[in-house]
Amino acid sequence: MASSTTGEKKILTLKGGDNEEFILEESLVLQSELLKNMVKEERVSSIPLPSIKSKTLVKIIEYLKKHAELTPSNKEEFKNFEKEFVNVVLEELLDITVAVNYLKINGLLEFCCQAVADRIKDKSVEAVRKIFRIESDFTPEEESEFRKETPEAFEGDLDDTTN
Amino acid sequence: MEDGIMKKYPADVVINILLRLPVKFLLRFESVSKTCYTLVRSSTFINLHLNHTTTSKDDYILLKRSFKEDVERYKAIFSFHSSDGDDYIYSLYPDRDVPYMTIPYSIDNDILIGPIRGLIALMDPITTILFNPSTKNYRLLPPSPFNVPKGFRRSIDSSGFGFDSVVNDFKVFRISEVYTEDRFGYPEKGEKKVEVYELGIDIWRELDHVDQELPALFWLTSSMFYKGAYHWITTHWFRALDDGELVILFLT
Repeated sequence: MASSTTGEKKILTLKGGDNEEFILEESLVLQSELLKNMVKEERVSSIPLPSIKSKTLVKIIEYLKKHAELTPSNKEEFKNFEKEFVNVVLEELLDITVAVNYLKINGLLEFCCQAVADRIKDKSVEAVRKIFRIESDFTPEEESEFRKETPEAFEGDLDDTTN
Repeated sequence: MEDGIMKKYPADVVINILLRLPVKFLLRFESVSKTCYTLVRSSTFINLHLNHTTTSKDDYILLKRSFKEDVERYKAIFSFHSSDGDDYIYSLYPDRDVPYMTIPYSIDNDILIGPIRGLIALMDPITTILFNPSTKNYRLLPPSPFNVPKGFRRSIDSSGFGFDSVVNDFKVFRISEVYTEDRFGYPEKGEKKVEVYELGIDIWRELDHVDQELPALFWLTSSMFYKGAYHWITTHWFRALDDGELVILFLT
């Protein structure tokens, strides 16, 4: 498949999980190790990403554009953008983090993981189960043992999983 | 993680997030499921977590001070301070007494070593206290049981604290010289002794075959635990060699 070009700039199409297409400059996706390899070695012009929701992909492309425009003079502005970028509900932030991990965008991955960590550090055991969709496989006896040992870890006021 | 209990998110992402969380959270994460427990307790994860660079938000200044309480009574206090990066320094936690260090003399010769894998050692020539800054717990270690024979004296060259990754255990050691005095009260050449304490088995032992040519290590000269070995800077003046030779001692 030959890459289509407009002027000097190569154009690439990314296809999200719900078949929505995003057309962007090829140079932007070079920030992703995964896409860079696909573009450089396989010379593709359209990449399907069925595991990534379009909503998530929109966010990531927004980041790639901002990051490409980063210069020493707008560093503060970029920091504010980053803060706003992770200011989404926790489930969405986790979706973004997983997608960024898959795409191998290293700087953004570090930033997202730290943002998740900051958000969950005070969550209770029950909340962590909900957030990561983990089912407890402890026996009821073991479970009540934990609750006896560290009752504060199970406290209800920490159970908010949305923020 | 691979057994499907964590269905929704890939294990590498979850681990990447967990590495950034304090031990307090990890203790809670253990209670989430058996897989989580196994993960957090695995030596691979523990090593990754220890080596993960902490953010500046976790930094604080640990200050040990000693106050004169009475004529022959000094009290040791730990204070925990942090700063927002401006000039203002504030206290993070209430001050803590260091009960085992309430002694009848001023403590100029104390040393703080660490944190090494989460533990800080506070040592004076006799007492060693291990302190865990994240839980604020102390542990007083037993003193070395090796006494000097009658008529001999012991001069302590150096003490230290480190982690031996070969046996996966913390070690405390003491290097000293046991000597006698001649009839005029001058010290005669003595014998170098090295004693090592292993935290996991709670035992002190004396090393055999100590190199008697070990250069003098002074209690207060800078020494540090770096990359799994203890390092000293020592002057080799007594052999008229170049100053500042670096000595590395591997504890076995």
